[in-house]
Amino acid sequence: VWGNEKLAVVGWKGIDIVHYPHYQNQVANFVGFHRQNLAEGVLLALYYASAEAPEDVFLFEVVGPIGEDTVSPDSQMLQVEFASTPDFPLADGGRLHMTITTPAELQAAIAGNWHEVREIRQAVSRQQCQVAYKEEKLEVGEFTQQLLGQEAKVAA
Amino acid sequence: VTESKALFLQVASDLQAAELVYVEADEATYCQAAAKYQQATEKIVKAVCASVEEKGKATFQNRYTHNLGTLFTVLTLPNLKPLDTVFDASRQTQINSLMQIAPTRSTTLRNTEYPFQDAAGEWQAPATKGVFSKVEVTGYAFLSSQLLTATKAVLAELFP
Repeated sequence: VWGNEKLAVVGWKGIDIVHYPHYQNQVANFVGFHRQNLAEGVLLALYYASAEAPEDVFLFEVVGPIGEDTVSPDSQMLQVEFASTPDFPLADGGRLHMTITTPAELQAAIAGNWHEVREIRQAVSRQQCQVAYKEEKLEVGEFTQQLLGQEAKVAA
Repeated sequence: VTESKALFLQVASDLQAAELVYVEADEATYCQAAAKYQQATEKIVKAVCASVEEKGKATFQNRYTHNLGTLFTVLTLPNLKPLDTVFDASRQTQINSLMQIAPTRSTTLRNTEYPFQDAAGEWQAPATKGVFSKVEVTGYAFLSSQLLTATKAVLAELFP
């Protein structure tokens, strides 16, 4: 697990501003929900922070079977952004950013050093990235290591 | 017209084209009908994502992905209930299976468009007798029409 430090502070309006890794438990529940509802399953889920939006939650998921798949022709993964919802409440103004990809696309992204890969590696270097879930498969371990640059550990 | 409505209009056209091109007695038409059902089904999923975005429930980037499995990750989220009933695991599997007949760069995968090499290394045209069966095409027709009906009903409930 990277980045265990607590960074919660109080803003000028008295509203709690929460930073990584405040949402660790919510992310774990969220990923658990995906694992139950996706036919092809979640292979890897990362919770990380972005320096550009430190109050937001960033979730990276690799889904689907390992094998032949299509890769985004414009070198960009599917990204979705949500405001606070009852199922994933966020601090005032916070956003949940999800990046979702497949193993084949992730391999292409690592080889091509796509933006999403660079952002995750920057979060790792700041100790603001943790594995929320990792399927125990050799291939998953390999692309996780390629992505994170070191042996990944699953959050407790 | 909104993007989602335009997509649903195109779905209706795809489904009509599939019915027009399908001739039960002519197996060479099966791949053409299958292609239209595959395209209609993919567009239904994308139309739902467009509806979600138009209603301000989420903001997408690159949602014209061919990896529908990544879109299911979003469409089954709790805040988009009851869409999860439309895209349950069983239907995801059926849709993923249908998407596998879309043309790819591979020369060994069966698809609706280009010749491919079978397990014995023989080239097969998608129109060749036996490459697609009547049972399969009927199943694709059922899946796409059932998905369209279920999707429209749930979207009307979610975004009245």
